[in-house]
Amino acid sequence: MKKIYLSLVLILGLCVSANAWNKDANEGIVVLATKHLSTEAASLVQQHLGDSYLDDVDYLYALEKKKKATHSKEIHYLHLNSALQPAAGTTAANDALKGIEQAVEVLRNRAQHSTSEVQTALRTIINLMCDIHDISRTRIEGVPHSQQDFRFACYKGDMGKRKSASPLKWSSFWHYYSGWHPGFSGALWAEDMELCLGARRAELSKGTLNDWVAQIGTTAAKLYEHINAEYEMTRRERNELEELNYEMMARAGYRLAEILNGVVK
Amino acid sequence: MKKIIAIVLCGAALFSTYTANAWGGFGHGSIAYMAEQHLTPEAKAKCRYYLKHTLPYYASWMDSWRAIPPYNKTGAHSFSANADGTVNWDHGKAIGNVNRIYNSMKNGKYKQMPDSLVNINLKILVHALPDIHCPVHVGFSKKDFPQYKYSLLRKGKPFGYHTFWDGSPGFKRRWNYARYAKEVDVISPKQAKKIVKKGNINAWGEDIIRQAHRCYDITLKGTDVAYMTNEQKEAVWKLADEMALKAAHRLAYVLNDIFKE
Repeated sequence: MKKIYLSLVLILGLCVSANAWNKDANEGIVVLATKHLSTEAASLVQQHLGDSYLDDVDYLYALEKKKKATHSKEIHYLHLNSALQPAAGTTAANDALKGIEQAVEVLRNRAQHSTSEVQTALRTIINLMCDIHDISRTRIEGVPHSQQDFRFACYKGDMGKRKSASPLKWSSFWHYYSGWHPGFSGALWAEDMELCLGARRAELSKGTLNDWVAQIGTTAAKLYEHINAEYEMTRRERNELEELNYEMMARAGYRLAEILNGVVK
Repeated sequence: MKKIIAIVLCGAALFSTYTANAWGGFGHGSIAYMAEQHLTPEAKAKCRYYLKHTLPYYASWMDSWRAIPPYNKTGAHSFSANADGTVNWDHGKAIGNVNRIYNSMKNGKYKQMPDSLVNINLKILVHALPDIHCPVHVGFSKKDFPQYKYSLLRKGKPFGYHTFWDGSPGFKRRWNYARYAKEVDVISPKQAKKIVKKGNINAWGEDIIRQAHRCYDITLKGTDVAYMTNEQKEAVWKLADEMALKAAHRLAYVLNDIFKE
């Protein structure tokens, strides 16, 4: 079972290695968001993306795969300075925050843009709002191990038989959790997140895009204080961090709804 | 509260001398998903109140925590059979845990427990009850059943018998839980009633033991799981799905009974 389970996690990891979480978990974030869209925002999404909005959770990755991307892969990351403020010198082509801000502007002024531009903006926001809530997507100036993926030691075996930690990529670690629930559909993820954290929706989505970035940055910085390539994570800590990962997914969903509701106000 | 949890966990430990792997994340999640579809509105609401999650979310929780104190005391995931096909209650292990937790909660007794204890008991039930339905979670002694002690092959290399059957519900099927339920949970209410046998856990155990023998007829010694015929795959799925379905309906029965008003 362990081999099959680990293979499954590995396969899921390989399939979505570029993506935050796995595709079903990302779909869950989007389904959660759609439950909280205003009538106007829901209508905007429906008008431009129809029922295929769930296909857009990895829109930017799909462009990269087709070699049609005009952005760099850094667009999937938040770049912060040492004060955890947006770093200088980034653009909408190489930073998630700038990418979201530019897309929001397009949606706000959608009357002046083509349908295709509005569609691209919506798809970009969906993809990047999922990305930025993946803790491993935060790069902080002065924190070298946040600048590129690293391997650390983690006790991965669930059954208590494995006595030593084995290497795991920091980015894969955050995908790993969605692999714990291999048959969750987007709808089930959304139902579960709503059940668990629905009562905290207002708190989790409170603030502006910049406030959210600050919260993500602070959370990541706290983890980077002790987790680096030399770190050996216990099985207990690995289990406990699932709660944080889960909360970040819910934040992504609720905040995605907020941002879309905001642009049509 | 800590004392109560410690007592429960120590109680579980009495039945827990042997640990084995579980159904697999997909199998456990699918069973819990199907069980949730058969909960009464009251039971569903109570489960969600105490768990703050859906049942499938916690389906494999025990596997994630089983190596970590104090939950390592709850590590029973299988039970033993006597040579005559009855349950060996002296080594009841997981089935003993299920029985004990069920009895400690039913008839409104869960209301006397702290919420945190109900939460832990539910997490154990949602995992352990399906676990005992996995055919390879029935322990057949080497003395009585020496013919059952062999490994399978995968691409010519030794592959664990237990490992293969643990993953059998999801074997070569890329489904999610909802799809699994749609394909597998297609029995009539009359058939479902027959499965739950009025909540007689001893009868469930004997039924599971009878079915567990079947897997040794399906995957014989020398079977290479990478090159199974369609007929063999169908036989694997048939048994895995039957057991998963029984686990789901019995889990729903237990939860409905615990939370009935």
